[in-house]
Amino acid sequence: MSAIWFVIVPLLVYIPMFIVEVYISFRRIGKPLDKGGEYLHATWEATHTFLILALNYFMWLYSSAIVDVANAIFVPLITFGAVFIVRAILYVYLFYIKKTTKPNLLADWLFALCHVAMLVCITIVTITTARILLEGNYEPNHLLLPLLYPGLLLMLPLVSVPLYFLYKTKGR
Amino acid sequence: MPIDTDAARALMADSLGFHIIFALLGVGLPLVILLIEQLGLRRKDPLILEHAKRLSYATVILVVAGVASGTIISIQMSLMWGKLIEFGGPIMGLAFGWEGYAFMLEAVFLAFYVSTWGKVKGWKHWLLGVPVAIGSFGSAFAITLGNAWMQNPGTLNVVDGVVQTQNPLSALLSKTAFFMVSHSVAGYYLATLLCVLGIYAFYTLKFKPMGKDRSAVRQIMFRLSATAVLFVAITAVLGHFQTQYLAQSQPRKFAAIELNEKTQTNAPYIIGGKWNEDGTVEGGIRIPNMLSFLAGDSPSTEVKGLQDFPKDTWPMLFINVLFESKLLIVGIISSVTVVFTALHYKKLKEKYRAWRYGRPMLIALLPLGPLAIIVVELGWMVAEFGRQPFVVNGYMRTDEAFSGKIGSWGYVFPILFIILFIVTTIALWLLFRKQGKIKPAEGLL
Repeated sequence: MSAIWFVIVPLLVYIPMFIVEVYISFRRIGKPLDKGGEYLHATWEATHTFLILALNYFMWLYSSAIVDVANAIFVPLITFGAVFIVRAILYVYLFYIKKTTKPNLLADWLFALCHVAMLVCITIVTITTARILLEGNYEPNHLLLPLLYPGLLLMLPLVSVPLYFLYKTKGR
Repeated sequence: MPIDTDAARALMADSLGFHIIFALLGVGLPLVILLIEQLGLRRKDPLILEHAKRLSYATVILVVAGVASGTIISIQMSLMWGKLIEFGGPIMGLAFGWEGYAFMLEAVFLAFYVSTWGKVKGWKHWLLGVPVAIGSFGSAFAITLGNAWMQNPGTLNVVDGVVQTQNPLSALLSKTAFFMVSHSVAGYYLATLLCVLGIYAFYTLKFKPMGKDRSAVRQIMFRLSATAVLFVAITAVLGHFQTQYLAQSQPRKFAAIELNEKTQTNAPYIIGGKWNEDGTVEGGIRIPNMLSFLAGDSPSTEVKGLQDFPKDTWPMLFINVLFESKLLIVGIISSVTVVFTALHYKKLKEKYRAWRYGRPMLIALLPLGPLAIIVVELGWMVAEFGRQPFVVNGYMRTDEAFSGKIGSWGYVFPILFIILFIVTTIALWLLFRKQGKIKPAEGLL
């Protein structure tokens, strides 16, 4: 298994779940919390760990490429970060502060659009990074791979069970 | 140092300072919730279980903020400190890779644990919380391993600006790592226990619980404070040995913290002094021989002084003030916690035992949590400012590690962090205050 799979596998797991989250964030617009507007249990934070895993792996396994890549992805990645915090602010506001039976259209739309903006940013980041890696001749830190394999093989099945049940109930 | 580098350092410091609040609570709360849920299950008390449930909701709010700030730190690391990653990647990569797994375990099982209250019951539900506590501990463990390597990397073989190693694991698992991980994680647990203890002190003052609720709250408070006393002792012992080891492994930082001007035996311990720019110490109360004794259990122990190091490698000299402030606050926290716990002693006269839930005692408990968080912040500030001007101690200076640009983003993130902090605080306030008194929940047992 080459180093790049440590980046690709978490991304492949992450993308479908992120799309589900985007869908749910739009589906709940205009609905009060008690009538389908609920978005509890922070599943997005849970699934988001796959993105962090991919980012971590990329940073540290391809540390020789990081300076070149960072310059190329600066704007989309830092925008992603800023939108990420805005989304967190809206999440806490919508589901823990403004616990009302009335919907809040502006916040609902902003919340949903944050997901779209993040999706766009992360897609640009992924494509740009992939292009730089393909064009350059960057040697990954092979020495780390045997120390990281067991964790990935253990963790993916371990977390997939609770994730399956979380999404099964959330999708209803 | 270029302006962008300074701005990047300030931004990183802000981000870490913000994140550590949520990170420490994220590490500590799973353990605290398990302790409370275990108490409720053992006593078959649905009221206590409801308290655990409410705390788990608070954890979710904190995790939302923690995930956001943690991700920003990852992003800032990659965009601004690429040369550090390039330099230390072959070793630090292992710590950060493990951190990813641990964080995943924590986040996924936390979501599962919170969503299964009332669906999965009794000890089975408690067991679902165990991976959360393991994951949160693992996360702190791995990240601190990486930081410990930056503090004390040992002897490195550097080729073309990259560390060469055949065994990243042994490079990470050092004595410095042992002390940093154990001391900091014990500090996170202590801070969280005291935060929750403060919440229950507030709950008692505000709602004046009676009957079964009062009994439940008091049982929880005693369990929290007794565990906190245990962690006070652990952090004190570990802190002492960690500082002793610091004298050997990072003498430059040790000298700056302890106001030691020159290399000497019978070095005095100075309280309240301050550094001059030329590396001399002004003022303070001097306790003869004490620093040598603390550093090596004997007054004849030689302690290295700051003046023995080139001036351009001196750390930020205000760290001694931070360290002394930390010790002072630790003293206050420890005293109040020990007194509160001791007042539960059954052989004590009833008139003294009655003080433990009196208004003055409860008010004294309120600020312990925030003070303990300040202690953690001060501890990390001493560690990080004390390592300067290096990012990897002795090998790479901080300005050499900067690889990017920052521009106006240096203003955007602190503003967003402040808004997130306010929103999170309001949400927690509402969770504990507006929802009012705890009512026995059905279906948790």
